[in-house]
Amino acid sequence: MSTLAIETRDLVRTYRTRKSAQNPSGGTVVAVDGITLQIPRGELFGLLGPNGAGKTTAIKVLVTLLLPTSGSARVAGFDVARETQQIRERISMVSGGESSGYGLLTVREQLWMFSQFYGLPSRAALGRIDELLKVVGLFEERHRRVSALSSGMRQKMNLVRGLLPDPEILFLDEPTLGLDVGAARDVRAYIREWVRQRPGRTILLTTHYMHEAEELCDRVAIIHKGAVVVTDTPAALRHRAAGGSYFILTTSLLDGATWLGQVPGVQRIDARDGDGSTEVRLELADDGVIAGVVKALADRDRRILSLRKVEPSLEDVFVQIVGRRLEEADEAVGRRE
Amino acid sequence: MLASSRVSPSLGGARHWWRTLRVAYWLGWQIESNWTDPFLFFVYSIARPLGSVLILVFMYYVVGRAGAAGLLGFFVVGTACWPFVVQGMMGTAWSLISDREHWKTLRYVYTSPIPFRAYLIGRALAQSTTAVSAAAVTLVVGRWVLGAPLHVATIHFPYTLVAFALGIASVLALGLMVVSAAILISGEAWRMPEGVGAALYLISGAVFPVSVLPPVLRTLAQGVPLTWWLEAMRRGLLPPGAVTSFPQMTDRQVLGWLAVLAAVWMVLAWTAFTLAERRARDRGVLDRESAF
Ligand SMILES: Nc1ncnc2c1ncn2[C@@H]1O[C@H](COP(=O)(O)OP(=O)(O)OP(=O)(O)O)[C@@H](O)[C@H]1O
Ligand SMILES: [Mg+2]
Repeated sequence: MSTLAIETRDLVRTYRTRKSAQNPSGGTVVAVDGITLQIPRGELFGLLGPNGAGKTTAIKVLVTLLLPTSGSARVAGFDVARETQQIRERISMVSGGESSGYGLLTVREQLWMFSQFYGLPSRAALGRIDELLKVVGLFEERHRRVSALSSGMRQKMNLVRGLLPDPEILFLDEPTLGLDVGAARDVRAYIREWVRQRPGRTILLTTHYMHEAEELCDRVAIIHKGAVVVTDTPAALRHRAAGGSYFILTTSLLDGATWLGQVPGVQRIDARDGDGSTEVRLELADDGVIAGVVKALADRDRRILSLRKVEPSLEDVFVQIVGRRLEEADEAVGRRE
Repeated sequence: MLASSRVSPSLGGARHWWRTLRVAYWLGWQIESNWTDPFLFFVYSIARPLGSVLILVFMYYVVGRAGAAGLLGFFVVGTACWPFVVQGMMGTAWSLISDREHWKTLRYVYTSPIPFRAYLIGRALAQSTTAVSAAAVTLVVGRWVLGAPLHVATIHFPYTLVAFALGIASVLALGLMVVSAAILISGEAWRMPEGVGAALYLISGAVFPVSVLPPVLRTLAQGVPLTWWLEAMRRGLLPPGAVTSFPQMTDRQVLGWLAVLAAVWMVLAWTAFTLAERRARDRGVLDRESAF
């Protein structure tokens, strides 16, 4: 058995688009542009990237919905192009923010149906369904029709569907999209519990929420325009961000702070004058350097109003790497419907 | 070994095929028999088939005046059987398209470890079942109101049953073929099954004998198993001497051709679906929701 849950090599996936008014020539969109990933079993791996980065496309290839255009991908050791049955027996997928479900069935019927597709014995399946429905807080709704559920409820139901077959590898495409704060927190907690209790189970997750990635993922890959920019643990990525932590210092008005940059050990300085005060962002060779900065300010009779040390967040890393904040990216690309 | 314990040993093989088919049938039936409204139930199960029978009566009297009185039985059997084609063939395509575009479940059904054809056939059989009431209404009205020559004494039951089973197999094969095309079409996919149905209605001898068609269409008709199915059903249900599409053939020959063509079309449909599925995965249209 392969020790890698997911392995891709130079995976490329393009879409051919039809000729249309906006797009007179037709043409190809390169959605995934040479992704190489190795995800060992037991890992909770995150894919981060702005809208249109190719996350969903990569997942679709891995769950056997799409064929790779070139390169290769293996899931649980099986080839996505040829060994689909073996893969399908070992995986399941949940995507957030969509309202899938047979509206005419009740929640329990719909889930039972999928359990049958995964070959679960009927009685055991119903037991597990009730258990999982309780976990996501949908037990009371089990006899309601799917069409009567709110979209968040449907999403929880779909999460149950994904967990039901107890897959070796679970694909979660923005699993908390559209959930309320409490529900999203419950879902994250359950996902973490789920992998923890089942050593060897793997989750590939995409998200736009940096705190979600930090909270859940053992490792993340940031992808941009179809290519992996960096892969590491959230902690290591944070350290990469502009050499780790930085200081934010507020002083009485400085009128130019370049002289602060002369203090030995100050690597970068970024000052912004505000209303009677100046905010300075300082990147230092090490924390000890701050003493020199404080002294330099005292020598020039500047008052320190506040000083704090900031650990870079994953979001900082993302911003540096992708160049823009995620929200800006969201606006620029626009949500596809 | 790590994480290699299977959820259940019952995946793959004939049992899973059968189970998938049963569950898909169940699902199809849940969707089709969702008669929360008795009025809708009446319209679909009684009024619509009654409507077809009335059209039939009208046609019969128009044609009958032209001196083709023997056609009544021909009409009645053809009209009774046709809903199986409509539901079984077009319904299969509709099941797939609605899974994809209405319920948005296709991607999850498709990526579950089922034999996908078993799923489609289960859905198709559920659709076919809905044709039973229409067929029954047509036969009852045809026999007792119009006086079509349907008599227990002259019905050849074993022959009719075999013909019926082969007919359903043919309908499933056609359904699989239409699905193969529908899976690749988006947006306009809804219309395609209708068109195929109308064309088949014209050439397969549903309402008039194939012998009246121009030679080209007649040859085409002989390649379609439905033509032979309708012919066989008429021979099974009607007394000897009724109007038929292939008067020069014996009953056995008709059944033989039906069996051969049903098998050939099944093989063709299987192959077509394999190719279409691969192409759909290649083009990324399996979970497409609107025209891109
Ligand atoms: N069916 C399709 N046909 C044509 N182009 C597509 C199709 N699906 C996706 N694309 C394009 O492929 C690129 C990657 O899309 P994808 O959905 O994989 O991005 P994503 O990272 O999941 O984005 P998001 O964060 O918005 O979900 C985009 O440019 C998108 O427009
Ligand atoms: Mg996406």
